[in-house]
Amino acid sequence: MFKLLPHRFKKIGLIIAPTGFFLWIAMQIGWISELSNLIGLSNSTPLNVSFAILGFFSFLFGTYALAFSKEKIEDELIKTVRLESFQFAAFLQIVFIIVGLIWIGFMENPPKDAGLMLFFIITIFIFWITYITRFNYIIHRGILKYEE
Amino acid sequence: MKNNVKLTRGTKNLTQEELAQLLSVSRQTIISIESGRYVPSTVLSLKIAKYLGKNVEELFELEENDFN
Repeated sequence: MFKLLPHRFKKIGLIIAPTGFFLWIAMQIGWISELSNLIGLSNSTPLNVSFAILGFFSFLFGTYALAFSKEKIEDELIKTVRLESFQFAAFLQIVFIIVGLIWIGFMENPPKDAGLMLFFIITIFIFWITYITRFNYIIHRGILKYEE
Repeated sequence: MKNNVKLTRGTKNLTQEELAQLLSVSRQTIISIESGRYVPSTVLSLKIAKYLGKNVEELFELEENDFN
């Protein structure tokens, strides 16, 4: 039987995933290069690469923790919503791939190498972000409305 | 399908949390059942009926569109 992580990993994922994403974005927009200039480094590449790896894998592990952590109480509703959310995420990912590839195919200057890699990385993460968002939305949407 | 879980729970003076604990489910599940957004399994339906002191048929009722 597939084992889920203990519930406490959800909080860990909530911290690690956005932090990792922020670090990766900071590297992409040049903040890390500026930081390396500020601290007097002649070559910013090692720092950029370090932050890119740290950010990417933090986001990856944080997403894993968010996606595969147990809820406080695991009951039949949670299992049903988990399955439905997986199916929804898979469907959305397929749609994204089809639409994305058609759009790229009709572009005058289609992206190469780094651009294509970014597209496929986004494709991977679309699945997990959609799954996590839908699962938590469905589980928690009733609380505020019907809470006693 | 419609149900009388909320009404019956009220007559027993049970909160959603208390009923959830009796049934070993989350409060979200009780909320979803009472609002009609989730149809419980046979086992859970029988447990709800047992703890609320009613028959399953008294708590859960089929509607026209359930036969489609």
